[in-house]
Formats: sequence, structure tokens, C-alpha cells
Amino acid sequence: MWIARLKLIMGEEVRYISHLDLQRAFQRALRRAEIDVAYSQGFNPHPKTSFAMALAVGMTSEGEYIDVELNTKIQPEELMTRLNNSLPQGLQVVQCKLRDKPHPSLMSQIDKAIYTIEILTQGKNDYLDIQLLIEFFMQQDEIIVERVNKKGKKSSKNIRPFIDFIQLEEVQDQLIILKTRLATGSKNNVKPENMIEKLIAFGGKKINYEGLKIHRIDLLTQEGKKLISPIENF
Amino acid sequence: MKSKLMNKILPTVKNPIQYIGKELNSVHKEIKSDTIRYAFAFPDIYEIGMSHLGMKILYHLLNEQEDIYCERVFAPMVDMEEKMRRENIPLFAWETMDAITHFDFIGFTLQYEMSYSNIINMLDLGEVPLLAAERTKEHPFVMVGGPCAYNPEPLADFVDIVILGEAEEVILEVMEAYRKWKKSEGSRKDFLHSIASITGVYIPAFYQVEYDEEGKITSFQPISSAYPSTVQKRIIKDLDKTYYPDKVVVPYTNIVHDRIMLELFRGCTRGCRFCQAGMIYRPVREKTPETLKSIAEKLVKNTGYEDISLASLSTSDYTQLVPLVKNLMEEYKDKGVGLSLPSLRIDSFSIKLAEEIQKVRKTGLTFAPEAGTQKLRNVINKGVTEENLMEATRQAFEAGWGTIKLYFMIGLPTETNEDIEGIGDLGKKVVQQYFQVEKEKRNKALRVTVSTSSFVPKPFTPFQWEPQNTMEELKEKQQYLKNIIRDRKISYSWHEPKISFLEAIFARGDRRLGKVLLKAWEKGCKFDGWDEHFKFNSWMEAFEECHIDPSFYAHRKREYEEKLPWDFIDIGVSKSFLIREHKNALKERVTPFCRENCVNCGVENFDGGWTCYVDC
Ligand code: SF4
Repeated sequence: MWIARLKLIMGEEVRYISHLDLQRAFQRALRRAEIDVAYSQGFNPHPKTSFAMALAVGMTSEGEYIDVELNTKIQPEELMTRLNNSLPQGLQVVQCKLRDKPHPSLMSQIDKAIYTIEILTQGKNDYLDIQLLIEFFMQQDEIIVERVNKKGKKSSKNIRPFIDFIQLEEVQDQLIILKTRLATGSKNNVKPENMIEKLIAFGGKKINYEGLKIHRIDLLTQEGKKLISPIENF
Repeated sequence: MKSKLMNKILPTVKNPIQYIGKELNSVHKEIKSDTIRYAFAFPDIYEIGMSHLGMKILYHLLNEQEDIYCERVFAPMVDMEEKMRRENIPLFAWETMDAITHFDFIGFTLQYEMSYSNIINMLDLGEVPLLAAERTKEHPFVMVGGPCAYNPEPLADFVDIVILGEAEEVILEVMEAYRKWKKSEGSRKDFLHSIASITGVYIPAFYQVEYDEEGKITSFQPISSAYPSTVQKRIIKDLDKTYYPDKVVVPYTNIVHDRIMLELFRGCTRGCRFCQAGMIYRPVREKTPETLKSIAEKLVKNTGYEDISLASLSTSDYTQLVPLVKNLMEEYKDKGVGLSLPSLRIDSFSIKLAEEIQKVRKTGLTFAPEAGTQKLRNVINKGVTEENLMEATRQAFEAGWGTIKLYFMIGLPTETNEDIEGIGDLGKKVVQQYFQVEKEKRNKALRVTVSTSSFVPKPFTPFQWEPQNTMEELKEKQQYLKNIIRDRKISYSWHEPKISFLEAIFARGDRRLGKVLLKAWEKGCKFDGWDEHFKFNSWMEAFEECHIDPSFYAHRKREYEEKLPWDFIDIGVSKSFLIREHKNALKERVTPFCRENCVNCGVENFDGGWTCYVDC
């Protein structure tokens, strides 16, 4: 059994794809590329793939990770080329590694994610105002996010410990660009859009925004004190 | 507009990926000054439109032409339309997101009468003048084709061009004429004039209709002798040589038929008397297994699909079905590609075949006896006996199927209470079959669904002269059947008679219905085929305000002598054959299938002589 770990880019063209649709699109690309993947058993066999972390609908990314189970060995470069010739617009493999032993599941390895967030605002913005807003926001001990689960039960969670940083990258008339690192994964998880909602409503003067463009720069694994990409130690 | 769509609107609507147009194998071209821009429009949502084979063929066929750029257009879902109207975003074509009003052509495919209001709505949303007479040189030509175009008259006011029959060749001839016209600086009318005599082209504006005081047609004539008085449909003679796409657009989001569709043949040899497809698509033309295998191979390679479906009317009539199925299964079983046969007949042969290729759970199997008694099955010429059905269901139960769906029609000509009772009886006999199968063999759970639709008389069928039952009659029959089926193992579902009524009106309607359509749309009618959007009362108001009696179209028996709105169209099958078949129906006399015996339907004289290859 061989496992290939791939790093994938998801562009504008597939920004609105759901996670399920992405999985299917990827599996079809594997078939087009004629890669000897292992199939699941059952009535509807499908190629065995597993994704690191679902990307929310509307986001783009340059740091998605997928594990693919293969029956036969293939050179990573060849796998990459063949897949890239088969993937639809907006999807591209940028890194690939192969190993023959099982490895902890991708999903369990993810601890953090880095994003850039573009906020398209209605009114004009001032750099200093926003800078101060972020500083005060980060000085809080508690940032409470209310959640409603599938059964309709409400709960609240303090997300402050899970926000590593928020950097102000750029401010224009109707645009604010931030960079942030948030806890992500099965243990702790902060959704960037929830954090933004809290931030722009902070301090009483709500920023009205037309739209959000969230881009995932990378997913990261905690290894000791270091944060590394899940493909680095694969 | 594109950025507003991308960043403001799409994040807030259902299933936004459907609107992006960047799917695998979608075509993206540079637009030059001589590019002919064609918007292939499907008057329903993406999920349904993308499942349609004709669209796949024509999209890629047109895009094969260097100077033609064909894009796709669908009806946006209700939430999307609301936002587009609020933000002043006109209906756009999927690939470029450009407004369709800037295109040279908008071609709608007519699959279903109940999508007519969507056409009006899409034109309006696309800022295209609704009436053909109001369009100028700035506007696109609106074209229609597809099965409902065989009676295009209800849409006569709205469309510029109607394509009759299979479009692969005729559409390119129309495009060629357009290239010439574009250079000539001629008027809109000049262009229409230049294509009016192409076989398969009908220009509604070039014809005029007169009616008597009862509303019956007294004359239907071209406005000039330059235009043909009958319009012949187009057919493709050799399906092996005709264009078939070797790649198709692979959507991201789930669509109704998300798989490779392999078209085995066109036409149908069966001749059921209610079935329009069985008449308008004659003659039968098959593709060779070699052609099919090579198409399948390319499509698997180019799409990555996990399923191949053999698509045609009555698939099991394909003469080489068994070798083809065996070959495809052999070829693809290790590549994770499965096979499905959507339209099988009820017989042991089909059960065995279905069993062989059955890779999904043995849940549902569908049979369509259509009528409850042998008498009525003879009337409609459905060559299925009770023994056939019982034998087939027994085999199905023995093979482990547990869910059986039985399709029937109510309101068929000559139907009596006994025929309705027969539907209930058949349902019960199927249940008995199940209990006769050994416990070890049969599925643990049994579920029989009896489902009835209401008979809608369609143009170009032997029943085109027949009245439809009134809604009250249909409701009574449904209630009667419901009372008969009091068996916990059987569930009964039926079609809304109001929708069938409207279908019957538009199926056999004439030009005067155009104004009703417009009125109904003004009252908010769209997506009429969907129960949750259907506004029956608005439709009835529209008829009343236009002083048009809908019963005249749905419930009236026509005499053979009456001029029918579609009489100017020649589909190959002759009117005398349809009359003969109608008379046979009333005498409960069965007509053999073409395969067994040619019954001279007229197609043998079609288009300068056609030979149907029957074994007789
Ligand atoms: S001409 Fe004869 S064989 Fe051909 S479609 Fe008509 S009835 Fe059938």
C-alpha cells in the first residue's frame, strides 16, 4: 500500500465548491489521470482519498492537503504532472510526497491555519482606527462566540485563546486586508468568519461590509514548539 | 457586474458553484469581432438542464466551429433570481457571465410545456424584448427546438425561429446563413427570409392563421408563396457518422443524471398510441456497437465519470444490447466505472440484464404497464400482458428486489371503472407474487408503489383527437383508486390534475395562447411544473382576462376533418396512419411492432425514401 500526500491550490473558479463536490471532482480527476488508486468496497466503489480540513464555501486556498491510497508505486513528479493535466480550472497540485507505511491521519495532524481576509467595506476606512481596533480586540481576555448545534442547542465558547495573531496588512478606501492565525482542527477550531464578525462589531462602531474574501494560506501541524506544514514531516 | 456577482450575491444563495461556468470541459474562447455568440438556454434550473443530452451535443457541436462561441444559460433558482433583480443583474450566460441580450442567438430547448413561462421569464430577466415583433437589429434571435417544438404555436409570438427535428445539421446551416447575412447589412427580416426554406426551419412570423367563430382554424398559410406550406422535420440519417461529443461538461454539483450518457439509437419501434416520442422520433436508427465502444472510451477518459448510462427510448430494444453490455462491463469493471440501464421494459430478459449489471443495492425496480386491464392495454397498444408482469416481478423478487414501482396512466380513452379497478388488482397481485417467493430468497422488506399520471393527449399521436378528462373526473378516479388500494404494502401516488390540465392546453394549443402565457407570467407564473411554485388560480385568471376558454383546448374532442394547429408540420408519420391507429385503438385492436412487421406508418416515404430495416 502506498500513500501519496498532496498539497493543493484552490482558486477563484472553485471558490464556491462544497467539500463533498470537491472530493468527487478530485476522485474523477484521479480516474482521468489513470492513476492506480485503491477503491473502497461496496456498491459504489470510490477512490480512497482523505482530506485534511474542509474549506468553507466561498474561500480560496493555497494550502489544502489530501492523502490518496495507491495500489502501485508512482514517482511523485509523475503523479503531480498527470493530475495537473486532469484537474479542472482552479485546482492544482503543488507538492507531492509518497510513502509506503501508514501515517497518522491527515485530519488528526492539523492544529492551526493561516488566512488572509479581505473585508470589502461600505464606508471609508482609516488605517490607524483599524490598527487600534485590532489591538484593543486582542487585549481582551474573553471573546465569546455563541453557537447553535444541529439539535438547536445553544452554547458559547471563548475563542480568544485560539487566536494567535491578527496582522493588519493593508487598508484602502473600501478594503481592509488582514492576516491571522487561528486554531483549526478536531481539538480546537475557530472559523475565520466568526472571528471577523466579532472584530468588526467590536468597540461599538460596527463596520458595515459588503463581502468577505477569505483565503487560506496554509494548514499547520504542531511539532514540539515548531509549526510545520503537514507535508514536511511526511 | 462580475465582481458584484462573485463577492456579493453568490455567497448568499443556494449552491453557488452552479453559476460559475468553469466546470471541467466547459468551453472558454476569445471573443473576436466575427464571433457568433450563441446562448444555449434551458428553461429550467442547472441541475435539470445539465442532465439533458441534447444540450451536451449541441453545446460541443457549436463550439467545434471556430467562429461560434456557444455558452450555457439556465433559469436561476428562485433565491438567485430575487437577488439578481434587486441588484439589476441581467440574466447572463454561464461561461462569460455576459448578459444574454448581447448575444446573436438565444436557443431554448423545449422539453416540457410547463416550462414555457420560464422562457418568458428568462427573456425578461435577460432584458430581451418578449415579443419577436419588438426585437430590433440590436437584439438576439430567439430560437426554439426540442420535442415540444413539434407544436410551437403557443410560443409563436415570442420566438423568431423554430427548429423541427434533430438539429445537428440544420443548426449549422442556419449559422452559415447568419455569417452571410452579417456581412450583408440586411434587416432582421432578410435573415429570417434567407433561412425560411431550409428543411427543418419554421418562421412563425411568416405564417398567418384564421379562425371561425367557434375558434377552430379555418386557414393556416404562409404570407408569401416564397415560404413552404408544410415544414418537414430534420433527421440524421447515419448516426454513426453524426457528431457526438467525446467530452462533456462535468458539473461540480449534483445534477439529476450525473453520468456518461451513451445514446444507442433514436426512435422507437413499439408504437404506443399515447406516446409522442414514439411517433416524432421515427424512424429507428441505431449506432453500431463499435461506435458506441469508442465513444464510451473517450468519454471515460475525458470526464472521469464513474457511471455509464445507456440512454434511449426503450433501451432493451437495441438489437446488440447483450454483446454491448458484456463488452462494456468487461472493459470497465476494474476501473470503477459502472453501467446503468434507465429505460427497461418489463420482461424476464430485462430482469436478467438488470441483475447482471446491478451494482447498486437492490432497492428499486420500475415497471410501466400503463393500464390496469388487458383491454385498455390493447387500446393503447402497450404490448405487455399480465403474465409478463407477473413473471417479471416474480423473478425480480426471487433475485432479491424489494421495492417495485408500477406506473399507470388514468384518463385514457375508453377507460371504465373496471380499468381503474384493474390497476388496484395488479398492485395486489404483485404483492401476492412476493409472498409466493421463498422467504430465504426474497428481500426482507416489500414496498410496492402504484403511481398514476393523467393522460395528456399529445400532437402527432393516434390520440391527438381525444378529449382529456376534466379535473373533476381525474380527481374522482384518483379517489376511487385510493379507496380500492387499501393495502399497507402498497402506497399510491398521483399527479396533480391541475398541472395535467395545463399541459393538455399547451400541448395542443394554438397561437392565441401567447397572450395567456404573457398574462400568466405577469401574474408571477414560473416554474409551473413544480408543485410549490405552480399558481393555478393565476393561470385561470389569465385565461379569463384573455377571454379564452381552456376547455376548448383540453376537453374537446376533435373531428378528423378539423385543421389542427400543427398540421403544417410533416414528421414523416402520416395523418392517415394516425387515424388508422386511432380507429384500431377504439376497436381494441393491437398493431404489431415495426420489428415484426412494417405497418406503413409513412416514414418509409420520408425525405426521398427511407428504408426501415425490419426483419420481415
Ligand atoms: S415505416 Fe414501417 S418499420 Fe418504419 S417506422 Fe413506420 S411502421 Fe415502423
